[in-house]
Amino acid sequence: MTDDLATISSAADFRKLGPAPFNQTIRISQAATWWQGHLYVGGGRGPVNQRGAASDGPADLGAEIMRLDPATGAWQAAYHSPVGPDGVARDRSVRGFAPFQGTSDTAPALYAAVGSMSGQVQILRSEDGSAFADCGPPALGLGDADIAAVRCLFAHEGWLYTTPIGLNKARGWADDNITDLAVVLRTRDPAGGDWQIISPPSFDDPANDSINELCLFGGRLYAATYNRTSGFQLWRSGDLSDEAPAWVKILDKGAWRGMTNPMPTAMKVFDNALYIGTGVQRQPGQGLDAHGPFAPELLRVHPDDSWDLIAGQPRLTAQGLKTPLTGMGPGFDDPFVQAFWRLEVHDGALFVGGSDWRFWPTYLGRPVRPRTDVSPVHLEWLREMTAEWQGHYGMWKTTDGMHFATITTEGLGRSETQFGIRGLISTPHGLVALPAAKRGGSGGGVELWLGGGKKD
Amino acid sequence: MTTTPSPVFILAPPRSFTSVMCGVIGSHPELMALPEVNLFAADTLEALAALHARRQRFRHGLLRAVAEIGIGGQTEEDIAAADEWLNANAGATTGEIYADLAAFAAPRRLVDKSPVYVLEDGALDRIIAAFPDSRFIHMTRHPWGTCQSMVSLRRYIAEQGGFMPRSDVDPDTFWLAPHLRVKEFLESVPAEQWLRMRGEDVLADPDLYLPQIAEWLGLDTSAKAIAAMKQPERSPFAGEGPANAKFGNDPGYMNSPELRPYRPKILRLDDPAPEGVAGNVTEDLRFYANLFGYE
Repeated sequence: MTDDLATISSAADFRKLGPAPFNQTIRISQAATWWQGHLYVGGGRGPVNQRGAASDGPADLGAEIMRLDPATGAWQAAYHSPVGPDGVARDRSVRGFAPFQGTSDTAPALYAAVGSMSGQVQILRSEDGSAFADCGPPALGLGDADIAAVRCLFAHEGWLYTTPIGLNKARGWADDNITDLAVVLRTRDPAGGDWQIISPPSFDDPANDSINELCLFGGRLYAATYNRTSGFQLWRSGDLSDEAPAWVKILDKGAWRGMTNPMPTAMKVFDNALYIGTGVQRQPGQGLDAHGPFAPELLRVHPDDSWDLIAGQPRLTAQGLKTPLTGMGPGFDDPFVQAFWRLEVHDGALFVGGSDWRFWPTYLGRPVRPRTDVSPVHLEWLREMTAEWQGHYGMWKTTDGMHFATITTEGLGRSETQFGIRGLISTPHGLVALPAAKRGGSGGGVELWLGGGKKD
Repeated sequence: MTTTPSPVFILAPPRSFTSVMCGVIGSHPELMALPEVNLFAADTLEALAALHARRQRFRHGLLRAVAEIGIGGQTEEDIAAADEWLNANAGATTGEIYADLAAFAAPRRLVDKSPVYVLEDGALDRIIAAFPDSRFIHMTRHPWGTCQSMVSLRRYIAEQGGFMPRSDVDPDTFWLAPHLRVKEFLESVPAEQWLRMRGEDVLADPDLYLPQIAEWLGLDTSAKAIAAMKQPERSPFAGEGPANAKFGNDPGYMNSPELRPYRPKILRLDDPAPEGVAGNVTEDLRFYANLFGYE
């Protein structure tokens, strides 16, 4: 516990920070970090010329990194996406930050990974945080591989780890969570681009569309796959000092819930257990997104590979009966939760940030595609509840992993442009929450909220 | 409010292993498997009698249950007495009669798998209104297995001189629609009160799954209790009843109620539909089959 920080117990304990000076296209922060006394916030936009999607703004505006000096409250632009010869910004998103010193670095640096608008992912590097520059070849040095972005970036014992994500060469709708190369990669020197593959492609299951989350726990890597066919899988590495670490499957078939647990949206270590939040990717008119809603679950895995259901649907499993320790079902009993999108440990507690699907109510059907699998009464109820949505999303907190207090189910500030918490960053000055804004929302953009700031 | 133990309801379309699973689960020493009482198909016994008038066999399970649990046996005289008791209570709601049955059986909890509950409008709502703390088991079976079993039942009925429909068994009607009804109903029930399970899994590995089912219901999970679950043939409803109430359950199950080693067939929706089954695999059918873990 940090004695000089105020306790967070409700939305009233958050205050809105002055907006980061992002360009008008930025509506989501998929990566943020605290480094050397500053808050770094990556900003991302929607794609350009995506079939059926409205543009987020001028094509020459792309991903940016802003840093905040908490002492002065001043923002500084640390990075703007370059613009290609076609007049389109090169970078669409910032997907990870990691403090790291590569073998060719003379000093520790802050690395970042930026997803590409129409090409390949690029690693960036900054020695002092004031400006970032390209570091190493695009696509992690893997030639013409279609690696649009990565899902994470972190350092451990002299290695920098990541997992590819996204497709650009055959872009369809909402493909930011699948990849041609579902592997774990690591390098000792990003500048050299010498990234090594240390896991079997797709863990030998073609239905694993990507490694959506990667987390270090007990000196081992835990890789969670996105699997729309039968549900996510969780794999644990062997000894990372091995050139080719062995991998063992810990959870299968969405922790035996099946395809309604397709995506591991967040993983975080808390109190010697690995917590996993799940969610459903938006796929308008397809699969789960045509038949939902299916609220997410919260699970935890112990060092001995045993696991608990924290909130979710009771079920029979290969490891015995699983019932939710909290007594709460999927979505903490809220059918409008789309995902447990972020997990963060702050001030001795685990915080869970949720998203709400009603900002984009694909589950209500359309005239060209009516819902044939729900009753008119149920559909009408979904419509009524959707009409009541006004920037709702949830945040919860636990100090023991068993009892969760509700911080809010109505969002922070009730802004109708914001639909879920995509970023949660613990800082010495409090917990920073970064909701995501829906496309085209007037006055949208990335909001920053500071919770449990320093006591007066 | 009920003061008796709330029942356990197995919800599934007909031909979904419900007879054997009800027999197995209901053979736990703290439970009692009912025959098909079909009580919640109507609001009152009087309204239920109208259904019985059209299909006399529908009443057999209820008669046998009242006789066995309320009177203590299933002789023809017991059945006649049960009939008399039901007629005397014709004005009662079906929920009241069910509460009486549950009280008669206490401390054992009733297990009911009447298929009509997933076919009749309002039946599931009557259940939750009468027993808000009920536990529900949503039992699934592969669409092709379910429909193939329905074809076999139709043939059996035809051999017994009954009516044989000309049309093929439609999976959207026989499998999808009842499952969607159950799924939507369960979404309104607290998560802790229901489990979904594949019948094939439980039958193929009862030693793994039966203790979990007992645990979920808060029952004894000792080896002795689980061994009892594996002897459904010991149920008073495991065979035919007396001449005036012979039926009340699946004829195949009543002829051979023992739990036998089971190896599920590998069935895939992309394989040709079984003979007598319509081969139209709609998008919804495929999605929900996948959702329940079937290919």
